[in-house]
Amino acid sequence: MIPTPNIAVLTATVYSRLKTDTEGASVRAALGAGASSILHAGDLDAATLPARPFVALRRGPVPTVNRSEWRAYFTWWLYDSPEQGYYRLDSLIRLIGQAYAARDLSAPVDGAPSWIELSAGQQGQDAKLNSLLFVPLTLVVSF
Amino acid sequence: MTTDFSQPYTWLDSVEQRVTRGAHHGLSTGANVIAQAAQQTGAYNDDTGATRASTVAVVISTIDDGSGTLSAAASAADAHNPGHGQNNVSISPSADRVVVALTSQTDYAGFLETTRAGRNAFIQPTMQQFQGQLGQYAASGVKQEIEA
Repeated sequence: MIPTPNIAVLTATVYSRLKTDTEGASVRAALGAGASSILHAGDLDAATLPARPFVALRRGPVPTVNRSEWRAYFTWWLYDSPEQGYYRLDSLIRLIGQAYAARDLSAPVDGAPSWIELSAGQQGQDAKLNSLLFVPLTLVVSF
Repeated sequence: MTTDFSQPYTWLDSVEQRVTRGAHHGLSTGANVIAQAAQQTGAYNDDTGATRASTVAVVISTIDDGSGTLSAAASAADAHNPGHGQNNVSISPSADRVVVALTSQTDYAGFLETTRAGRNAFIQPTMQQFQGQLGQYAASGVKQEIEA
């Protein structure tokens, strides 16, 4: 049977793991303003950025693989002030990984995800976002 | 007593070459699909046309290193936005792999992929969308080569 995940519910589930779930408490404690430093990427505004460090979630593609598996890509973009260097961001990577590893994501439909993979990308600096330092953290959820 | 394995080794080498050739040709079909999808994106503003004109997907193996396509794409970027064409792919052919590379040959391609939490990104999302199908394209090409 081809799984048919509810992408809206899955996105909310991924987001709430850091925003409100108990498993994300250590992540919120490491951010500039707790849950207020967690937002959707679509809400990013250079004029009103949250307290640093902060994280923003963007959903990527949800392709089918061989017509028998769905794979949803999400990216948490981790941001911090240049004077902080990448130390706090690199520490956040571990905390976010622990938050997702602590408990399986509840599946929107058709049972639990078959596996979850988390990987950090290259460090960078965004001239369009007040020259903030960033690290992308990609989460892949497969059904 | 010694055993002459030269004939089996020669046969194995020929099989390896046919598998590489088949995978390269099969993946070329996949690369075309990927390139078309990436060229049709609305993820960025396309102010000069350079990004769209220089978006290509190449297959790199001992059959072809893709340099001709990559160079032409960089030139296309320069034609639209002088001084901003750049080769962003540095993959050398190797006997043990066949690589599909999707790129936009501008010096600001990396910026588009990361600025504002990936708002204008299209290279990585396109590869994420299609990479699961690449195995099928490679297998199809190998099957055609073996059965020819």
